[in-house]
Amino acid sequence: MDTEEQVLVDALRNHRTMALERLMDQFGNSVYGLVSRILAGTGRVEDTEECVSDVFVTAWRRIDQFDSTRGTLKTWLLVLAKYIALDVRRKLLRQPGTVEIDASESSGENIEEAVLSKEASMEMRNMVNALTEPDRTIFYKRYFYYESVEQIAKALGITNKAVENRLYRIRKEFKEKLQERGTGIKHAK
Amino acid sequence: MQNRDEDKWLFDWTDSEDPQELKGLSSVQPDEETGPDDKAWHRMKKRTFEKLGYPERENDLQASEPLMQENRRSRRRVVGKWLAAVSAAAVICMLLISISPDVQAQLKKALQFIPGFGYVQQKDDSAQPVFVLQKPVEFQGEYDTVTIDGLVIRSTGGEIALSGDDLSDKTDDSIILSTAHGEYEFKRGSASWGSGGPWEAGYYYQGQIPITALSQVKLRFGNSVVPLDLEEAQSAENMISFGPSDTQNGIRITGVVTRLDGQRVKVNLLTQLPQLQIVDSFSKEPITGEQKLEVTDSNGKMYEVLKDIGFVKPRDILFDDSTGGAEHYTLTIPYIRVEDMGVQHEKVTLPVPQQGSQNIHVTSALDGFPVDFTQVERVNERTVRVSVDVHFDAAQSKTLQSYRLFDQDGFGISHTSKINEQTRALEFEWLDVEPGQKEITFYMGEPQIVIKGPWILRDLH
Repeated sequence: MDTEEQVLVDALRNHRTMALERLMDQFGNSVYGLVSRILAGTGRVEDTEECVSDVFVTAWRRIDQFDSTRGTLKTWLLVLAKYIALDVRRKLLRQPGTVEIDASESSGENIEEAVLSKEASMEMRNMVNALTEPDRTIFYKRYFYYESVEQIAKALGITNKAVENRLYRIRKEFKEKLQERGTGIKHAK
Repeated sequence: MQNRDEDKWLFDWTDSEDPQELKGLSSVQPDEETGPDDKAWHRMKKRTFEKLGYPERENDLQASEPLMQENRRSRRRVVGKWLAAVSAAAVICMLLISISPDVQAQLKKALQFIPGFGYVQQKDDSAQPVFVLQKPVEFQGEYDTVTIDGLVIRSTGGEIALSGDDLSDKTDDSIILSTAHGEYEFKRGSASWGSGGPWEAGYYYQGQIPITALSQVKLRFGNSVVPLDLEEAQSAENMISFGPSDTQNGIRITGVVTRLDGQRVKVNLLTQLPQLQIVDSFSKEPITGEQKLEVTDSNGKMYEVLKDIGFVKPRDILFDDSTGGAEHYTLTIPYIRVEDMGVQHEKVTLPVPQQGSQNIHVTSALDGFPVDFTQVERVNERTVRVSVDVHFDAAQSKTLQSYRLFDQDGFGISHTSKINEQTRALEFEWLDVEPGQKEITFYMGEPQIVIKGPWILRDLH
């Protein structure tokens, strides 16, 4: 952990409100971006803002759980943001009249729910952890941080097509390996 | 065109997966976002502090400009990323060679120079010697050349420093060191990089690595396996035994020469300063005026010192000797600049005119150096320009050139400043104010002090 981050973490642990404001200044846009991508199509701007606020409230209350040996403060905050946003999305989707745009676009009336068995999930973990660069970065940016193909392409300085091709190959490889080992994806209508 | 059905099960899987189980996730960051506007941030901050029971923060929040501050901070962070990495290393260095009386006594026992990392440490008392890589080793990574800048193995663990020019090579969270006794996984502890360009990463291992009579080890990085010869670290009773030294104005500088592969020569500059003081420049670039450090040989031939690419490394002096290697070199350092992070911050309060400019005579001092504020000009309703005189005088043995600004909690204040083109001393600062604000208060800290030389290190070989 660098000195600047250590000072910030110490100040948060000492409940200095200035540090919370600093945390929001420093990482607010990244948190807002992730939350808004996860909530895209499920809520209003006010929901995103409320969720971002919840992320920082939670960070303030749980700062003692931050372990610098496991990653940076930013990663810890983003992981926190992701799971709070997923909770909010689940709640919003349960509300009448709310439709997840991606889901409805993806399969219309014939929505399939793809689920992985516990065994397949473990297999998936091994395959993801075995990814080499730049596939690993592309995978995390797309599926963990919900970035668009365009965002990933721009960040890595490659074409959209190159990102799409790599994602296609990753999906194909994962699917084939899962099927080879009899732990394929179950599609439930 | 993406197949969204294919995507969905992967989104679902990552959503349900414990991030701790995902290798390398911590090194992947989403892109910096532009973010919402100031008003939105004001709402979110206000709401956040209300939820925590701090409604009184409202006034402070109204007085802030979060987005502007973030944007400016972000820019500073990009520019200062290399500096920050170097500063952190320098702090470690200075801690290691601190000259408090106790440490001084210990230093008399024995010192060891750790090449690659460029610092001196107190000799390890354990029976196991400290082994190091004497000079950098390059190998072909998957995308470009990767350099092992340093490797040290102590009785309690080890450190490895890697760098490269293609970010795609900065892949693994860990690298494996193989010895005759087994394999040891070094975890990545730090990494810095530019957009698609140069990168640096530090790896560490905590625990014993049996290395008695160790001569060769292998480093596994991605698909590459690199054999390395390690040698026992050079020991000496005092700093001057590592290489030529010179002392000016109470500061000793010692040069340690390493001949790298080919024609390249590296000089590591070592200093002993109190804790929290670092040398942020040895005149590799001019500190004031046009004077830079010079390298010459016994025939008076001058060598061009290579500029830092990507990462700023003030203590590493690199040059090429195409003549095949002179017997010895002389390094002349006209000035150094020391940044002192241990100095107490000084509070300054200035009047703020509602319009136009106001001549003022506010005098303060930082670390004993006088600082005069002579004028405050209202540039617009949210900005003032402050004229400052730090009384810079390059002829003095020590003179203040600049400082950093902090708030009352000790956090750096984001602001713009202008330096004099000739002396490079601070002249103007632009600070944020609110409409109607009548006073502005800030704290000066971390003075940058220029110390006059010259330090002449002769017989470098």
